[in-house]
Amino acid sequence: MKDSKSVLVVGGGIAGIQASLDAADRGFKVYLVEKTPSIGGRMAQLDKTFPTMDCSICILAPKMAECYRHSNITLLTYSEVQDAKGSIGNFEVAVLKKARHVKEDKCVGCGICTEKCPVKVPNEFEMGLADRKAIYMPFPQAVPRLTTIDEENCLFFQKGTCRVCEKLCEAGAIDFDEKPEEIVLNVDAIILATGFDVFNPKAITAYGYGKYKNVITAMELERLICASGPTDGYILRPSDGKEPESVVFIQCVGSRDQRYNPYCSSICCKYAIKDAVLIREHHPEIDTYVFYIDLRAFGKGFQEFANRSKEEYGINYIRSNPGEIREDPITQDLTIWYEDTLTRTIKPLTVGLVVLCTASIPRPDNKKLSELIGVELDDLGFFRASHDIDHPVDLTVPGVYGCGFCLGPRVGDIPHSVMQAGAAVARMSEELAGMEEA
Amino acid sequence: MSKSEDTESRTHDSSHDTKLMHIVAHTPRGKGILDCIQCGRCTSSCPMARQTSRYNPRRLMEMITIGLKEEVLSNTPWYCLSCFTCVDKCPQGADVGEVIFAIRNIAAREGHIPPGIKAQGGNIIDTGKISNPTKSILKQRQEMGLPEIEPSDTEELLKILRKTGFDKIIGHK
Ligand SMILES: Cc1cc2nc3c(=O)[nH]c(=O)nc-3n(C[C@H](O)[C@H](O)[C@H](O)COP(=O)(O)OP(=O)(O)OC[C@H]3O[C@@H](n4cnc5c(N)ncnc54)[C@H](O)[C@@H]3O)c2cc1C
Ligand code: SF4
Ligand code: SF4
Ligand code: SF4
Ligand code: SF4
Repeated sequence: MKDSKSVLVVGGGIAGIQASLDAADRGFKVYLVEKTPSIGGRMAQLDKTFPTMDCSICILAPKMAECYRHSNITLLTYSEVQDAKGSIGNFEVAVLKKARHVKEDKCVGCGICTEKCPVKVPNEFEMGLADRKAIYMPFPQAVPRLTTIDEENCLFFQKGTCRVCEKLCEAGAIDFDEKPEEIVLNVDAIILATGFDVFNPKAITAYGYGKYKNVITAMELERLICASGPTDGYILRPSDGKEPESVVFIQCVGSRDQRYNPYCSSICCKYAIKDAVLIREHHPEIDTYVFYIDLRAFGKGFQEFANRSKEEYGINYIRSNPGEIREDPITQDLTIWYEDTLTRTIKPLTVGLVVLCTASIPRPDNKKLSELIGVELDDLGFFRASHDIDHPVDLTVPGVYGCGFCLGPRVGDIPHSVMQAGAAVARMSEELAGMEEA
Repeated sequence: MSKSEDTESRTHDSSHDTKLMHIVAHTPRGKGILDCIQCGRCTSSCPMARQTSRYNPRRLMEMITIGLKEEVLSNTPWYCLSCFTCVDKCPQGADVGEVIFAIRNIAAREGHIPPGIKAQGGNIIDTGKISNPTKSILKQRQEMGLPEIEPSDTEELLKILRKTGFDKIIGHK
């Protein structure tokens, strides 16, 4: 392989990170474009990961750092693809680097600016369970390790006042005049790895998400249960900061539902088992229930894990899809009416916290990228493979490949995202080598 | 998962009419039966199911699927209030409330209308009302100074009921 071959990777989650590392190690010149200020994606937000129950960020952080250090990888964070033309072996891609207003070569990541910035807004990384400032580092392990000013909330950009961060930054890294920059790249191939969004369960009004404070999503729970999260890993209810006596997980929220997403999201049964076990590990006194339709614990070791979660951790599994949740306005406890379909008993259960295991859905970005690059989407809005069996990581334009959850809920977990990343790089190398021989 | 109580009622023997599901699916309003995934959300939301353990819409769908014809055509479907909460909640669009109309129609065709329901039908023919006030209610009304209940104008209604054969279906004389 000539070392001059190059690839654009779009999306810096685990799939895009792994594809970048694999391609870079094969001698490709890699441009990794990530739209948020840091690479990491969803995996950075998770606490422990099934199937091994390893600390998620402990596995991810070294890979993120490796992306930053690797001489073959150019990281383009806070950037988005603006335009694309050409074909395999010769794509021309325009990337817009948004203005961070913090100079990458000067910021030392000390955080004094963040500390003193007077503006507080909901923290996206913490799923809104904590605040961040207008100048911020998305999370402690962020790569690149520097802050970003969010123009929409900064007092200087909105009202022309403040400039506190500029005054305090000893490295002189703040640059209010920085302008967005367009970079044009010539690459041989493109790998898309845009991942997934989380379904907003507000649509299912009977569950009261957004109205009842103690109804949260699984992604929010990942932050609550994380030792570096907003509650230092303690399970505390949003309504009163107290530990709940019991927690319920409800499966298939917005998945396997013809009105929202007809498909099985493929990961939520497994992460519910994981999170239920983590709750019992942190707080053995909290009773834990999982309401499921079918417990889809497929894959190596998962049925065994599900069984252990019952036998060793005492998780209660109830085969039922509850119809509604009601809040007690005084205690803010939640009552769930359900039919246990195995015993045919209909009864209410009152608990302190409800976790909705919401569907994983395509990001709106897929549509824009499909228009720019010409690759097709499937009926759901994920990228369509050129052949689901023969070429599952090739997209419908030669030289463009996909990996991770943006291909849809095949087996949308981390190990499979990593495998698909390797497969995408292998297919790319194979096809480009084939062109050289021809 | 724990074993269901009625594994024996799920095995196929002569008391199972395996055609039942297809008959229901081809009856007007009955095609939802093919979409049910037995999740239990209908029963979890059904107001009637909370009142009596004799009524369970998910179980009704299950009984249709496994062909328990005798149970399906018993009193059970007549408990339904037709409130359509289940139709609103079902994640699969299986339209339980509609399927219940289909099985009531099959039950009616096969002469399985419960006597209480027939009596209500008779009341409609005779008085235009599903049920009529008892003597004690009439007395209470009088004591409270409420006006007398006017008889309903049933002429048009009777025409429809005769044309559709409603009187014959319920055996009204
Ligand atoms: C609550 C929960 C718990 C989970 N627990 C586990 C677990 O324990 N074990 C496990 O194996 N899996 C788990 N998963 C699944 C895991 O999160 C996914 O497998 C994994 O994150 C998929 O990685 P990805 O790179 O495909 O997508 P993502 O993590 O979504 O990354 C995509 C990246 O692309 C970026 N991006 C998107 N659009 C663009 C664009 N247009 N331009 C530039 N960048 C873009 C995004 O900002 C993001 O950084 C869990 C999921 C959830 C929701
Ligand atoms: S100028 Fe903006 S980012 Fe800097 S401290 Fe003020 S509000 Fe925060
Ligand atoms: S993985 Fe489980 S919770 Fe998620 S959609 Fe599939 S069956 Fe439902
Ligand atoms: S009818 Fe619908 S709500 Fe009821 S069990 Fe079947 S799929 Fe679930
Ligand atoms: S329509 Fe019938 S089955 Fe459906 S919720 Fe109402 S009473 Fe229950």
